Amino acid sequence: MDATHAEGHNKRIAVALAAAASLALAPQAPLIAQAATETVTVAVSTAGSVLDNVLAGFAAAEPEAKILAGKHNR
Amino acid sequence: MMWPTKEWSVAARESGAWRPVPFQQFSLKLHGWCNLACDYCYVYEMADQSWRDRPRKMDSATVERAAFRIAEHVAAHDIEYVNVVFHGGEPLLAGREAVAHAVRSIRAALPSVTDHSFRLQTNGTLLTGEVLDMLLAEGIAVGVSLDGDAQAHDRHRRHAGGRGSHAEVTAGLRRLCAEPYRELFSHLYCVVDVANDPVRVYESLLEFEPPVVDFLLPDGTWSAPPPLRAAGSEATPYADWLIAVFERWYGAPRQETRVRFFESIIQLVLGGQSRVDSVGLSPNVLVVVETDGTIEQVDTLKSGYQGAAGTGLNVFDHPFDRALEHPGMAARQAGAAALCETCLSCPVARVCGGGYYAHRYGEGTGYLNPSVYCPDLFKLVTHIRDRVQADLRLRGSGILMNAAPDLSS
Repeated sequence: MDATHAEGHNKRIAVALAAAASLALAPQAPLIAQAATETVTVAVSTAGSVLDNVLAGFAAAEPEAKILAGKHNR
Repeated sequence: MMWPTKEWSVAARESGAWRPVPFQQFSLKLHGWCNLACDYCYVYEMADQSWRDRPRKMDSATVERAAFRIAEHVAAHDIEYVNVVFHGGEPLLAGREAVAHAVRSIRAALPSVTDHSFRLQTNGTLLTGEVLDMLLAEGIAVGVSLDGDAQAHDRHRRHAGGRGSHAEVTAGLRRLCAEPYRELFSHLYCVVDVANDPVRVYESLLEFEPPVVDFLLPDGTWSAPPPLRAAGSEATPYADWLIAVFERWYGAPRQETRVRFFESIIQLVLGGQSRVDSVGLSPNVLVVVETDGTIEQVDTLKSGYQGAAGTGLNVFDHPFDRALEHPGMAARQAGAAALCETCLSCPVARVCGGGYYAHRYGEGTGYLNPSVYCPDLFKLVTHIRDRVQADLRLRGSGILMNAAPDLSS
């Protein structure tokens, strides 16, 4: 890789790193996250709709290893 | 040179944009051939034809060597949990004894403290009582591919002579759903065909009361687009189909099954983590061992070009750590650092994650592209976001109303 290509690669990675920190469903994401936090305690104790259960799962601390090791779905 | 390049992965690692994450999911191709001839299959019907040159069945020496390499990797990285998937082709063509031998070899090789699980992905036609007895005895979870009712399923999932497989698959599924085997039932995989009625497909899957349903987009690339997904078109037939299923699933008063694809999008919208590898930016930790012992990347890359999944490594000569260094593995672990500029400027990229990696391929640009399903993913993600947001706001106001003091007295 020559110097020009290396600079291009590094620039892209820098852009990507910055994007990784800032990518969001703005401006709704903070609202949703806040609402989800507020709702969790209610959701767990009510009837089992999809949203109830997803929120309950969101609040539960599922081990990272099991989430990653179960991702492949083909 | 096609992306991802070795130079990119080295630069990504040196800059900290990517750090290798050890493999935790191992897919063993116990049998490379299949007794069905589904017309959309990425193994036989798309760009890569490497199955023709490989042994049909993984022999016991290769299984044992793969088991050794898995245990070696687990010990080297102090991995707490691994999942082993028996795949094909059709893995049950290897025979009951071969499947049991694979489980026993891996269990014997793994450190005693390592939590582990086994899963077998099958077309369902060979789920006899004897096979189910073996799967139960060895504790192997079972996933079955079913595309809906007979009309929907037999549109693609046929025998080589053209005969549909729905009757055999559902007979096997009924045996799996009966006691004492029910506990083995892991999920149904359903490949989307927008020619089928979405709600009818979903409800036909519900008849088996699956714990999980995963909807899979048909494999395709920018060079070989999936049906109705023409380059440059803003039409969203797959989003429209999936939204109809989402509304039926999400709107049910009581949850009837898990749809991990939708759940993952909701999780990601809320700032959580994906449970599937088709959305989100979390690292992928899967590695594949082919019937001849070659170590490969995820097998759906075969949809791109001949040799796309290859690493040049094999379990006889190389530890899995060598595969971690492969640029393709790096690209699937690097999150946003592996996205193209179009995705980096997109507000939903954190959720869709650029879409399924195999679906980004284009001749000349490699995998540095948005998903060939980009318009569909954008519409689906924004629909789910808006739906969840509206519900959470409703609930939020409900909570406030319930908590408000009664001022009337």
